[in-house]
Amino acid sequence: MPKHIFVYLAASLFLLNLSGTYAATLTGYVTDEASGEPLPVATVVVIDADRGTTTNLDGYFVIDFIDPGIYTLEVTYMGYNNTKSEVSVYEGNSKPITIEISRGSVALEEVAVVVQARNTALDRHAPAVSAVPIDGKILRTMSSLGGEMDVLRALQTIPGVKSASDISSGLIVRGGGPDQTLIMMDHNVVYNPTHLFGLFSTFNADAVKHLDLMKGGFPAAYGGRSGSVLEIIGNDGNRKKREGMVSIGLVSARASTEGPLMNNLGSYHFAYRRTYMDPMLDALRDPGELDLPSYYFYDSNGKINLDLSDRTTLTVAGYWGNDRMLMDFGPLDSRLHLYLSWGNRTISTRLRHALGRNMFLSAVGSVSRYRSKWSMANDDVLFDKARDRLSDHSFKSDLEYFGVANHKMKMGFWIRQYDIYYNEFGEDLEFVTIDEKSNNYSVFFQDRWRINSFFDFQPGLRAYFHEAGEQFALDPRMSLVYHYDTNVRFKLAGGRYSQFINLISFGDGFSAFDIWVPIDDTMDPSYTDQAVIGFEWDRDDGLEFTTEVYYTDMNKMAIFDPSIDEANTGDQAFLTGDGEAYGLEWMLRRMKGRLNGWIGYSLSWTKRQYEDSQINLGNKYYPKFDRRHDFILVGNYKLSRAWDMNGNWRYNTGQGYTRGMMQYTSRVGGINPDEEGDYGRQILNGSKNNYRFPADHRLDLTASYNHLFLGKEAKFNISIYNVYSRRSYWLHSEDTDETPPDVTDIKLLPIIPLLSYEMRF
Amino acid sequence: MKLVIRIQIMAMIMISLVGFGLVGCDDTPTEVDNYQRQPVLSAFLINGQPFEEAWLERGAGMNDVYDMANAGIDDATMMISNLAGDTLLNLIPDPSSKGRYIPADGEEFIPQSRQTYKIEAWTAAPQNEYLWATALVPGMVEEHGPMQVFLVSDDLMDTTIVADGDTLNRTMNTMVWSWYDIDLVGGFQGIIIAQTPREDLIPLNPDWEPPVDPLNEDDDDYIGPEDRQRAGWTFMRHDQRQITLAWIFFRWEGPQKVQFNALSGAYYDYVFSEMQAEFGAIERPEFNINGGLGIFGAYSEQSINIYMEKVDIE
Repeated sequence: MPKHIFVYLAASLFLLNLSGTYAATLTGYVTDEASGEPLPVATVVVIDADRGTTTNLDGYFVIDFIDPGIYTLEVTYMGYNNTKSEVSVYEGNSKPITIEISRGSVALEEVAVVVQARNTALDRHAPAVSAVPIDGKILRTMSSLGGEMDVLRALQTIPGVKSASDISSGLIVRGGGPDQTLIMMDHNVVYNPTHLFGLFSTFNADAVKHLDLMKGGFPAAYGGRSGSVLEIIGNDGNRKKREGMVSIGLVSARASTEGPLMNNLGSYHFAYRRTYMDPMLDALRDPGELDLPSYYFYDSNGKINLDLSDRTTLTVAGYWGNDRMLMDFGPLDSRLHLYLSWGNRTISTRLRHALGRNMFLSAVGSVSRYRSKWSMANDDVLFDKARDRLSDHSFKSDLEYFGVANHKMKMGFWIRQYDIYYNEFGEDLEFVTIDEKSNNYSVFFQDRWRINSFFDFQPGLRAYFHEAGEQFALDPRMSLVYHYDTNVRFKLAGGRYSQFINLISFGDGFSAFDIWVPIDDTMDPSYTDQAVIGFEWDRDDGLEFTTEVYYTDMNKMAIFDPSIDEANTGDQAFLTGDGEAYGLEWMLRRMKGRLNGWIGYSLSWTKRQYEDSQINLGNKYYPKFDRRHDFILVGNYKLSRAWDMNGNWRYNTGQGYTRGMMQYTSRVGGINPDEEGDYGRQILNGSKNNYRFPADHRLDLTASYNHLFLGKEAKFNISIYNVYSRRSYWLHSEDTDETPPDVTDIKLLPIIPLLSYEMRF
Repeated sequence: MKLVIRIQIMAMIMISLVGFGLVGCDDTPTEVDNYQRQPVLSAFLINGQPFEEAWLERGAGMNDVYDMANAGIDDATMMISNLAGDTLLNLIPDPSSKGRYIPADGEEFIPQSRQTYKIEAWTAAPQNEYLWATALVPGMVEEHGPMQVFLVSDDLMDTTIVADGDTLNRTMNTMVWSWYDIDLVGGFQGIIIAQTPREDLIPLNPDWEPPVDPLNEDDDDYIGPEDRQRAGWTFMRHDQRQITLAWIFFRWEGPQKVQFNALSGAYYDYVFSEMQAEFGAIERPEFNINGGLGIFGAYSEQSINIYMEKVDIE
C-alpha cells in the first residue's frame, strides 16, 4: 500500500507543475562567512517584491514565482549582522546562490539569547506551532550541572518541558513520558540519550549546530512518537579553515576539531568527550571499607560533508558513546559484583540534492544501535544477567516541492526495521528471551499553504504499516496561523500521533536498564490526539510574548507490567492504559540589549490510568512528574567584552509521592514474624502519588571570562549550581525498622561550585 | 494594530492567566488522615499437616506505635469449610495471643492435595465485617520425586547430597536445590531460618568480631535489632526445577532450617507482589482476602536441618 500512495503523489505533483504559471525562482544557501557552515532557519526577504522565506535545516531556501529582475535580498539571522545584497533573477533554472553573513560584532546591544527569535514578519508566516528553535552557538553559553552545557537540561528551561528530577536529563514534554519524544541527531534516532544514569545527556554541545524542539502539534513529516520531537543538527565543520577546541572541567574533558576537506570538497567535524571520574574513584577506593564503583563514560561525534556539486552534498555522520560501571561490595568472603554498560552507536549517510528549480531532495540511510548489559553475581553464583540490543535500520527520503504558488509541499517515506534481542537469565533459569525483527513503513504528505496574507494552513497526513500484526494507522495533522497583523498571530494545531515502539524503564527518565520493545502482533500501537491553540505577539523593540493552551488525549499507552514474572508476548508483558495532559504555557522574552532572556510559566495536569491492573488498583493517578506550576526565569548579561553572565532561577510546585496509610504485620507461611528484622511490619500504601512534596526552587549562576591564552581564544567558566543550596525533594521513604515508621524525605543536590577551562585554536 | 486594542488583548490574556493560576491550586489530600483501618486476615494451609493457626488484626496508623501483641482482633467468629459449604474446622481465639485463632477444642483439619478450601471470618460489632477467601492446595513436594539439596563443584564433576544434620561452611562447593514438578503450584519459595535466638546471632562473615561494647552503635561490628533477621527467602518461578543458592544467603552461624515450599497461585502472587510493592513498582501486594486485607495461602513443604560453621578465609 505505501508504494501506491507514493506513485499517486508523484503523479499529482507532475500535473501540478504542468499547470503552474511559469516564473522565475530564486534558490540558494545562507552560510556563515567565517566557517562556511549553512545556517538553518535564517530569514531571506526579497525587499522589492515583499516576498520571503526561511532556510531549511540545510540552510537552503527557495523563493518561487517572482518575476525576473534585479532584487535586493535582506538576510537576517540572530547573532549575525543583517546583510543586504543585490541579485539578478532570470527565467528558467537558476543556479543556487550562496549568501554569506557575518557574526555580529561584540557590541553589547547585540547579544543573542538562547531561544532563537522569529526574525521577520515573513518568517512568522511559518505555522510552527509549539516549536522552539535553538542555535547551538548560543546554547553553549548556558552552563549546567557539571559546569558543562547540557542540551537536554537547557531544554528543561523552556515552559512545558520538565525533568523527572534534578539528577535526570530525561525530557517530560507536556505530560508525555520520555519515550514519547522522538529524539534525532543528524536525522538518526537516538534511543537512550543519557550518561551517568540520566545526569548528563549524550549530546556533546560542541557538536550541536541547531536544535528544534516541537512540543506538540508537530507536522506529518515527523512520526513514530506520540508526544513531541527533538531534532538536533550537528555541526558541519568550518569550510574555510581548521579549528579546534579543548576543554577541561571537573567532570569531563572535551576536544573537537573541524575544517575543510582537501580541495575544498566539503568539511568535517569531530568531537570527543570523556569523564575522568574513574581514576578519581580508584584513588579513593578501599576494598572492604569504602566500596566505591568504577565508572566512566565517553562519547564521540563525527560528521563529514562532501560537496558532490553545487547542488548536491553527501553527509556521513556518526555517534559512538558508552557508559560503564563496575562495583564490588559486601563481605570479603562473599562479594557481590555488579556490572552495567550501556551505549548508543549511530551512523547515517545523507544525500541532499536541489532538484531543478522547485524541488529539494533528501535521502538518508541510517543505523542506530542501542545496547545495554548488566549482571549481578557473586564469586560462585550468577543472580541476574541481561543483554539488550536494539538495532534500528532505516531508510527515509523527503522531497520538498515549491512548484505551486503559495504552497510548500513536502512528502516522503520512512522504512524501518527494528531488530530487538533481549535475554535475561539467572544461574538456573532463563527469565526472558525476545528475539524479533519487525518492519515499519510510513509515508507522509504535507503542504504549507499560504491562503492569503492572513492565513497560513498546513494540512498533512501520515500513514503507517507495521508488519507485526499487519497494523495500519493513519495520522491526520494540521496547523493554522492567523496573522492579525505583522506582530500578532493566532495559531491552531492538532492531529493524531501514533507510536509503535515502547520503553520499559525502571527509573526516572532514561536509565541503564531501559529496554525498547516494538509492538508485536498481540498489541495495538499507542496514539495521542492533540490540540494546541496559541497566541504570539512581538514588539519591534525585541520583546516577544507567546502563550499556548494544549490538550492531549493518550490512548493505549503501554508500560511494563510489574506484577508479572514471565511473559512470552507483548500483551503478557505490557499493560495498556489511557491518559490525558492539558495545560497552559506562556513565555515573555527579550532578545536585544545587554540584559536579555525570558520568563516562562506553565500550568499543567497529566493523568494516567491502567484499568484491570495493580497500578493504583486500576484507578486514575497523577504520575510522579506531574507538577502543577512551573516558573522559570533565565537571564543573560553581557557585563563587558570579557565577562558573560548567565543565571536561571526556577520555581516549581512539588512532585507526587505515595504515603503509607497503615502499619500491619505481613505473615509468611512457616516464618514467625519474630524471626524477621522488622518483625514482619509492612506499610499499606495509599493511592499512587496521593501527596505532594513542598515546592522547590533553585538558582544557578555562571560567569565566563573570555580572554586570550597564548594568543588563542580561551574561556574560563565558573558555575554555581544551586546557589542558596535549597535541596529539592526526590523520594519519600518510610522505614519499618522503627515504629512509628521513620519517615525521611530524601533530597537531592546541594550547592555545587564547578569550574571549566576551554581553549580554541 | 491599535494600541488600545493591543492593551485590551493583553489585559484579557493576563487576567485569564491569573485565573488559570488560581484554578491550578490543588486541595490538600486527606486520604491518610481519613483512612479507616481495615482488618488483616492471614492463614496458611500446609499440605498434609494439621491446621494450626490464623491471625486477624487491625493495623496501626502511620503516626502510632504499632504494638503487634495488641493489634489483634480477638472477638471474631472464624471457620474453614470446603466449597460445598461443609464446615471442616471452627477456629476460636487463642487466649494467650491476641489476634491468633486456633482450632476449637477437639477439632482437627488436615488439608489435602488438589483441594480448595474456604476461610470465613466475622468481626463483632460495631464493625460487623465479613472476610473470606479460598485457597487451592498444591500437590505434595515429593509426589513426583524428592526435593534434594546438593553441593556441586564448579566443574560439575563433584556432587554431594546434603543430608539432614550435616555441617557446612561457606568455603564448600556451591549449594544447589533440585526438585520435580508439583501439581497446581503457583511458584516456589526457599527459606533459610537461623534457629539461634536473635540476640545470640553471630555473623558468618569471617571479618566480624564481637564488639567490645555490644551497645555501641558506632562500632563497625555493631548489629542492631533491625539487622538481626533470622529468616531470609527467595522465590522461584513455577517452571523452575533448580536453584543455585549463593552462600551469602546463609548469614548466621549455627543450626539452620532449610525449607522448600511449593505455593498455591494466590500465595505466590502475594509474596511476589509484596516484593514489588517494597520496591515501589506497585502500591500494595495482591491480597486475596475479600472484605479486608491479607492472605489465605496454601503450600506444601519439605525441609532439612543443617549446621553452618564459621571459618576463616585466607
